[in-house]
Amino acid sequence: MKPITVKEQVRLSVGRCFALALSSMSYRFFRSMVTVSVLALAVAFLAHMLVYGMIEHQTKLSAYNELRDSRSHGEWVTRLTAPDPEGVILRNLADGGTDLSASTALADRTAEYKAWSGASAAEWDEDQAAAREVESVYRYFEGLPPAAHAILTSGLEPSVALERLARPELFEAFQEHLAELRLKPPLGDVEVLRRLVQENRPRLAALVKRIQAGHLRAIGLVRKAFGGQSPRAILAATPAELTLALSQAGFHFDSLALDGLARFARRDALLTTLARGLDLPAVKTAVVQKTGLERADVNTSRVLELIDSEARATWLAGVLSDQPQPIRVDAAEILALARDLRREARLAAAVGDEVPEPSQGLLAVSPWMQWLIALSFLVCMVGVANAMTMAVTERFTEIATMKCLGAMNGVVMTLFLIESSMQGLVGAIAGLILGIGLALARGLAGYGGLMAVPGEELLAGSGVCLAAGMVLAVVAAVGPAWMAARLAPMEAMRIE
Amino acid sequence: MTMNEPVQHVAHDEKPVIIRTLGLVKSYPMGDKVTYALHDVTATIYRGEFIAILGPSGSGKTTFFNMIGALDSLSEGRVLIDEVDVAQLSAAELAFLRCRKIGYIFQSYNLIRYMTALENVTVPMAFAGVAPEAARRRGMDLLALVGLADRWTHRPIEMSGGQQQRVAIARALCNQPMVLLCDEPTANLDLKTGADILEILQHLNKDRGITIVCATHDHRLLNVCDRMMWIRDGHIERVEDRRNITVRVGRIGGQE
Repeated sequence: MKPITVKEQVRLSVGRCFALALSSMSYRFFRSMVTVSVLALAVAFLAHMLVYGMIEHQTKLSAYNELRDSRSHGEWVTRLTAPDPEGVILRNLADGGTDLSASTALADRTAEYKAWSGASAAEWDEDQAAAREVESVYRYFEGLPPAAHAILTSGLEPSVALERLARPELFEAFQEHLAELRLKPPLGDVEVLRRLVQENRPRLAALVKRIQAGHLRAIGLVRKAFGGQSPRAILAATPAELTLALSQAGFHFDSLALDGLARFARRDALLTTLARGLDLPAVKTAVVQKTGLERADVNTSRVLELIDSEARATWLAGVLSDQPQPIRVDAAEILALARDLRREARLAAAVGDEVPEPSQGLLAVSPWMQWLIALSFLVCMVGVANAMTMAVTERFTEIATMKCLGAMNGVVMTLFLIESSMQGLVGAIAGLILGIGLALARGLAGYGGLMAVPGEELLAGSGVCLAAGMVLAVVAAVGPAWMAARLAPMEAMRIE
Repeated sequence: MTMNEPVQHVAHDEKPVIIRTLGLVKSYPMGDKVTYALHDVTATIYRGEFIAILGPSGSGKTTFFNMIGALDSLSEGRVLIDEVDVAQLSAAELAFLRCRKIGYIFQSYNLIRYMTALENVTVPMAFAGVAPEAARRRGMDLLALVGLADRWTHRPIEMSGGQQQRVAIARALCNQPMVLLCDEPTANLDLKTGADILEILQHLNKDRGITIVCATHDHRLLNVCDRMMWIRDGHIERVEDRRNITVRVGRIGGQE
């Protein structure tokens, strides 16, 4: 008799493993649907949270950017008309000094102020500190209960109330009031407050005056460059001319932001013309007869709201040109303007009050949303891991049998790896489609035509969801399978 | 005759040994105490014989079966399959041993549910690296041997217990093992089907010279096997040659 010789078992090719896994999968197709559906739902939830967060953010951001030109035009009209009021200057000084990452607009503004004030670096730092103290006192007044507020400010504006404290007898009275009310003094220390009202605040007032004077000079220079035109007319100039004149006058700004101004200047001019026309009694009467608006309500915004077709725009242009002193406006321009304004109103509604963070990326969503996503991911993990683990635990006998028949641990693992990753892939793709579909539907319902879909982020997010689903499925399945495969066959069979 | 040693010595001269256990112990810790499923079992199985392992349930015969089949870890002692110590084998060598040298037949058949009869038979050949076409041909031959050639497309769930056990036998034979280990092969079957299975096993033993070790409490096996081993409470109670028993039973019958 020949003695047996024990050699190493051959290693199975991946192709054979695939064939084996395929026969298992085709048999289990409907049974594994439950597991796959759990995974799909989990991934759908995750994808929906992630993608909807992105859509919401992107929509707000693009709406905000679209509105930027109109906002910027309004700002430039103000800047070229008169210097900033004292309150605005103080707030800009206070904010510009504290926040290093302050917006570029604020940085531009403070740079202008510094140049116009002619202050040295040391003086400038002191002034900024004083501005912050002033702002802090204002906030102190605002935070007081109504009764204390009335007593301490005598019912005056915070700035006036603070100015009055420069008079020693009023400062004494203020101190007595504080003692009576048992309140901590503003800035925490009476002496600091005294120094502020007696020295720093007057100096700050002088600084503000110098800034305003500098601003006025700059406005004068710009107007001179454009032959004394009105600010709105100046803004209609070409971006190149405008950039040159503004920077020569000492304004600091982002020259790219000037590109959209001309369009808004033209629009602005049209609005002014329309307002002039709609003020004419004959036009008012015609509009009232045609639209049924109250006579008092006839103004540009209300009338433009009603211009929603070419016929109406032509009609309005016709009415205006029929006047004894005809006002010539293009019907197409009126219609375009009306549409622009309606769209802007919707954009403004979409953006809401908050200024969207310009930073992009996967987690360009609010912290609250991040928290929700993390939580939903956790829920998915538990659900999927549970479903997969159950499905594999049922098959411990099968694993044991395969080992009795001479399967290497690696083969068992490869089979489960193939199966679970296939299940993971199918589930994750189905879930992704469902989740993105839901997010798009929700975005469309919420924002309509304004909805903006971020391309790159969406791809990255899809990748993350897909990977998360697959990794989850594979880890949850291969973990227990590995546990069973490592054991001696009969030990694995005993686990039920 | 009642002890292992004399039997082993007598037989050792006649036949070569295929499986040997030395002081085999399998224990399970149960809290503070240790429960022994097998306690100091030393046994020998010879090449080409048909041996029945008998004993009441819970006696440790399935544990013994798993040990000599290299299916379970042992606590103490040695299992030598053709003088190769199972404990010394690597995972890959164990897989090789289980795949080609030993065929297993279980009480509950343990067919793989999602595979057809033919696929079930060819699985061990796939693990052994046999080309799919060759495996298929040999699988069909083996199914014909157990009388299931026309049912090769059926899944286990579509077959009766006896048919499933016959598929399991075909599967156990596919890599031409030297030993066929059967754990209660007829326990789940009715009398007629059980007899069919035993007939197949006997045929394999007599005509093909395959060693068959059969843990059972089916007494029909007494007519088929060459030797019997009784296990009780984790010990080998006695080992006897069937001829001796037949002679003795005959004599007792004659007296009555």
